[in-house]
Amino acid sequence: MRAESFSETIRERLGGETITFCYQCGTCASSCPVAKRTTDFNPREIIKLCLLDEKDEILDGKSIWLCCSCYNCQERCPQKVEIADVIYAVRNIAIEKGKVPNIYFEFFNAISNDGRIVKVSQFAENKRPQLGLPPLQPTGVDALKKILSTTGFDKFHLKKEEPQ
Amino acid sequence: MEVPDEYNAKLSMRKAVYMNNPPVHPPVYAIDESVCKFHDCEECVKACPTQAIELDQKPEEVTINVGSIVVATGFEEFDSSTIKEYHYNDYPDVITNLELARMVDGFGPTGGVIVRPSNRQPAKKIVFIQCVGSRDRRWKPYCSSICCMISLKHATLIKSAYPEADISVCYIDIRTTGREHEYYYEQAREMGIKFVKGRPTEISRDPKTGKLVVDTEDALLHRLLELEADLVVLAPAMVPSEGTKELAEILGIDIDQDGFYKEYNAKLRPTETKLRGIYICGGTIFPKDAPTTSLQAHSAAVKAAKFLNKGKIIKDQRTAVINQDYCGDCEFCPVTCPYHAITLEDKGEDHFAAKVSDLLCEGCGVCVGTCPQNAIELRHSKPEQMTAQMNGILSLNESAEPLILAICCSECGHTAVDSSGMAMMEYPASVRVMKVPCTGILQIHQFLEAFKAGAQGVMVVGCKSDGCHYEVGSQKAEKKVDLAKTLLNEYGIESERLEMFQFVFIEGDKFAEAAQMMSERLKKLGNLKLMIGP
Repeated sequence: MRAESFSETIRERLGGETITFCYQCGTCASSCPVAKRTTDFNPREIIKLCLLDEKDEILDGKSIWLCCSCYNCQERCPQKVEIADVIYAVRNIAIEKGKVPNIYFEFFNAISNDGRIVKVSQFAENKRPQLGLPPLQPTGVDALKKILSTTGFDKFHLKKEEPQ
Repeated sequence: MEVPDEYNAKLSMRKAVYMNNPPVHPPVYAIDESVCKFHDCEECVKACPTQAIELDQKPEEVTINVGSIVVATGFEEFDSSTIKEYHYNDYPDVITNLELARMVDGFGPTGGVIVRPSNRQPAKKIVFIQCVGSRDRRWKPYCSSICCMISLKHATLIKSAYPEADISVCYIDIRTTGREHEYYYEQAREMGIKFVKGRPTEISRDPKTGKLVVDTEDALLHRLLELEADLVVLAPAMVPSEGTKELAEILGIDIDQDGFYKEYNAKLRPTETKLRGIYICGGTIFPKDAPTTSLQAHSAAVKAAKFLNKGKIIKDQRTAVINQDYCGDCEFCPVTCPYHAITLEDKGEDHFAAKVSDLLCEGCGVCVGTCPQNAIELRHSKPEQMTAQMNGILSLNESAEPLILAICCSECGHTAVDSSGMAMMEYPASVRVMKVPCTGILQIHQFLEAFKAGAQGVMVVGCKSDGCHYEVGSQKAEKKVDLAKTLLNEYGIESERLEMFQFVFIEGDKFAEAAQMMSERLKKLGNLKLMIGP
C-alpha cells in the first residue's frame, strides 16, 4: 500500500477534512490578528506547507502553536476551509509525536493537578466575596484524572521527561 | 420631480418621464409610476405632439400563440452587500464594475471622469477586488469567468485616460482564457497597473478623511498590505437574472445547481432544452462574454427556425397510452413524468383520469412502471410484448452455463453492452440482452416473470442514477430492484439472483465484468427451484 502523505493524514483527522479546498487566496492571512503582529505565523502558509507535505517544517516549527483560535480566518474563508480546525488537527499530530512546546507541559500539569489551567491566586479568591461572587467550588480533580487517563491525555503528560 | 437614475448608477438624476435605457433601439420613453403625479399634472399629455401618452393605461395580460421559444433572460450582478466585510451599501465609495462602467463612459453621467460618489471628487487611487461572491463556497462556488476581463478592461481604460491614476487589482487568479484576452493582461502590466495576489479580508473607512483602506495580503511577497483607496471597485459574481427559477417552472425546463438554465447536452446540444421547441442562449446558461453570447444566439435562432420551418413535428410513436377503464383518482404519473406530459382530466363527480400529451411524451415509460393500476402502456413496449420478447430470448440454451437475462435501457445500458462488443470483450454467451426504453418502465412482476421464463439470474442495466437520460428512470428502477429482492427472499429465492447495475455508456468493460461475475455467482448458487414448474 502506498504510504499516506502528510496532507492525507491531516484530511482524515477531525477538523482537517477541508484542507484541500484551499486555493491560496490569502483571505485568512489578512484576517489574522497574529499575522499582523508577527511574520512567524501565516495561516495561508501553514495550509500550503501541509498541502506540499512539508511535514518536518510544520511539526518542528513553532508556527502552528501561535494560532490564537479567533476563527476570523474560518469565518471569512471563501472556500470554507476550516483553517483553525485544520491547525488543531496538525497540533494533535504534533502532540502524538511528542513535539510540543514546553509551555504546554505546564498546562498539562496544571490541569491534572488542580483541574484548572490557570492557578487561582489567593488575592483573586479574597476579591470574590467583595464582588458578590460565591466562593469557588472544588474542581473534582479525581474525576478529571479518570477522564484524562481514559482519553489517553495523561500519557502525553509523561513525555515531559523527554528532552525538548 | 427628479430621482436618481438607476441606469447611471444613481450618479445623475432623471425625471418621472425618462428613457429607460438609452442605447436600446428604438428609443422608448417610460413614465415612472412611483414618481409621476399623473392627473394632478398631465403636462406630458399636453406636450406630446403625437398624443402617444395615455395616463389611464392598465397592465394587461396578453396571450400569444407561438411555435417556439428562445429564452435569453441573461444574468445580473450578485448583490455585493451580502458580503458584509466589504461594506458595499455602507460606504458610497465602494462600487461595482457595472457602476464603474457608467463613469468610464464618455457620454455617461460624469463625462468619463472617475469620481468618488461620496464627494464627486476625482478618484486617484483605485483598488479593484476580484471574485466578490464568486469562487466562494458560501455564496456562488463557480467562477463567473468574465469578471477578470471586465476589470482589466476598466483598469486599462482608466489608466490610458488618466496615467497618473494609481490602480491596483487584488486577485486570486487572473483568468484570461479567450482569444487575445491575455493581451489585455499584458497591456495592463505595461501601463503600470499593480497586481496584488490576495483576496482582501475587509474594507475599512477612516471616519475623518473618508479614505478607504483595503486590508489584504500579497501572497507572493508574503506581506500584509493596507491599500489606501479613493474608490474601491468590486467585481461581483454573475448570477441568473431575477425570475429565472419561476420562468423555468412555467416552461417546465430544468435549472442547474447554480440556478442557470440547464442545456440538453453541454457538448452537443448546448442551446437546446429537454423540451422540443424551447431554446436557451447566452448568459441564461452561464455568464459569458459577448462573442460567445452572440454565437449561442445564432445557434438558438437557427434551431428555432429549423423547428418552425418544418411545419410539422416528427415524433416517435413510442408514447404512453392510458387505459381509461383502469385509470382513476391517483396522481402518481403526472408527478413522476419528467416531461410534464401527463395531466389530470376531470371526469365529473369528483373523479379524474390521466391524459398524455403525445407531443410532450418522450416515451421513457417511467409512468408505466409507476402506475399502481397497470393502466398505462407504452406503444411498442406493451407488457405482453415484453413478456413475449423475454420468453423468446430465454427459450434456447445450448450451453451448460446458467441463463441470465440482462434487461438494458436503450441509452447507457444497451450502449455499454455495445461498447463491450466493440472493444472485443468477452462475456458469457448465456447472458441474454433485452432492450427496454428505460429501466424506469420495469415493474416488479416482470423480474419474477423472467425467472418463470427460465432465467437463472436477472441483471438490470441502466444509466447512472444522476445521469439517466429520462432523469428519474434509473433511480426508480433501483428502488424496484431493492423491493423485488425482498420479495424474492419471501418466496425462498436467493435475492442475489437479481442485481441492478448502473453504467456510463462507455463502460463496456464494466458490463463484461458484471456479466462474468453474475455468471459465476449463479453457478455457485446452482439451479433455481421454482414451485410452479415451467
